[in-house]
Formats: sequence, C-alpha cells, structure tokens
Amino acid sequence: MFIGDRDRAVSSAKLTFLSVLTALAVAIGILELIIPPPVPVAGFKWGFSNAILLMILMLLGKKEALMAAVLKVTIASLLTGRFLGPSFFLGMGGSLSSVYMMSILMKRKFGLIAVSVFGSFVSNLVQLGLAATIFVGSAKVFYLAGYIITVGAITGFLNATLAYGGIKWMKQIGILS
Amino acid sequence: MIGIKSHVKCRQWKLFQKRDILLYLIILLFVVIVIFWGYPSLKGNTVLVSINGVVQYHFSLDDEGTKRIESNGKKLMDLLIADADMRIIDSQCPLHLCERGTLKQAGVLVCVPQEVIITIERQGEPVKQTDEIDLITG
Repeated sequence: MFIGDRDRAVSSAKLTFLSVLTALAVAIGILELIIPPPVPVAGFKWGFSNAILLMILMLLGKKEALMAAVLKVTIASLLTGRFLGPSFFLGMGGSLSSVYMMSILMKRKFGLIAVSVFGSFVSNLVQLGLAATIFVGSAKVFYLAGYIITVGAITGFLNATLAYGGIKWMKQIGILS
Repeated sequence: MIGIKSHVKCRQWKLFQKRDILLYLIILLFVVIVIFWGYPSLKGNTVLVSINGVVQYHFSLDDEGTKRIESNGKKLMDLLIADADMRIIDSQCPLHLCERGTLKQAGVLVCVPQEVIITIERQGEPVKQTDEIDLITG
C-alpha cells in the first residue's frame, strides 16, 4: 500500500500523541509508588495511570490503548527493576484486562465513570486471581478484595473524572477539536 | 504542518448513563459476598506464614520481637510482632509494598514477589500444612 506524505504525517502525529500520553502514564505509574496508599493494606497501589489509558481509549481506540498498556507496564517495570517479576505479570494482566473490559463497555454506551470503575474492578480481580493461582498459591489473597475493590472504585471514579477533564482541557487549549 | 487536532476523533462522552446501575450492582454484590463470606477472623492469636502455599512458620502474637523468614536459606523478610499485632519489615522484595499496614488492619499480609502470605488463626485450630486454591474467580 502506498503511503503518501499526508498519510505518513497523520500516522506520525498520532504516534507522537500516543507516545506523549504513554510517557505520562509511565511517569504517573512510577510516581504513585511514593504516594502513601489510602488504606494500610500490603500490596496496594493507586491506579492513576489508568486515567491516561482511558483517555487513549476515548481518543484513539482499543488497539492503541492496549499498546500503551503493554508499553506502560514494560517501561515502568524496567525502570523500577521488576521486569518479568511477579509485579510485572500482575500489572500486565491487570492493565490489559482493564483496557479490554473498558473498550467493551464503551461500545455498549455505558457512562464513563461506570466504565472506569468496572475496569478497575476487573483489573483488581484479575490481579488477585493471578496472585492466588500463580504466585502466592492461596485463595486467602482474596481477603484483600473488599479493601482493594472499594478503593479501586474510588480511583476508577477519579480516573474517569481526570480523563474527562483532561480531554475537555485539551479542547479548550486547542490541542483537540 | 499536520497536527493531532484534525486526526483524532473526539466524540461526546457522557459521565453517567441509566444502565450504569447494573455495573455498580455487580461490584456491590461481589464486595458484599467477600465481606460476609470471606473476611478473615481477627480474633486469633496465631500467625501463620505460608510460602508458595505451604505453611512454613507459625508464631504467637504474644511472643513479641523480630522473626526472620527464610526460604531455602535465603532471607525473605523480617516480621515485627508488637502490641498483639504484626507487620513486615525489611522485606527483600523490590517495591516494599508489603511493608504497608499491619496484620490486624488488613486481616492478611501478602508479599507477591516473595510468594508469602500471612494470616491469623484462632488458637487451637488445626493448622493445615498446605493451603490449596479453593476459590477461582474471573
């Protein structure tokens, strides 16, 4: 297929936009490791970088959001020294399942907050399931589910608000139309 | 120059829809089931430390001090027992997320990289040596 100058410029513009958002997701993912968790639960992390994945899903689509999720987890784990460790696989499973579920729910025209909250719920379930079956070998990991899913719902709400507000802001300053 | 403005389709999104209630109900139902069925007892006095699903250590919460947890001769972490509660200190995992909170605050402490799970059992309850998966979701 012939790719003309215009097509090439279009794909470059999209790629640049996707790269900037992915870099932002990686930075947020690393920064949130030093923010104290809202509940004193071992293993709990915020999930604010998912706001960026939701934004990518809203603006560019499922394929791009899945790509950004893979890059986000891979780069963040390389930078924090946990590449191919258990947290890498938990992060990858959580992010991919969340993006996939959010894209299904968006197609079915659910509200953005519910999409984000349910995406967070699925991500937490997948991570707990992976931890229980592959890493820790005990279903007692699910004792944490009540805490993690409740706080995940709050994070999901904040992520949807951030993504919605972020896109509104980009429209206001003229990045998006 | 071609910018992103003309190439990213930005449709109007709604924050709320009536049908969202279905998703919230699913989450609520799950949380209620977890709390009423699966929430651990905090009344026990014996701490069980399982490594990769097998109980390797048990301590009494009355036995205050620092306990070293090892697997195959390699130190995984220290446990600090004080004031009838316990926390993980000096874990050898990369992110130290497991050092947040105490056993009685959460009911269970998990360190995924070290494959360690710490729970409380009532005194006198038989200690199972293996803790096989009896629940699979998702």
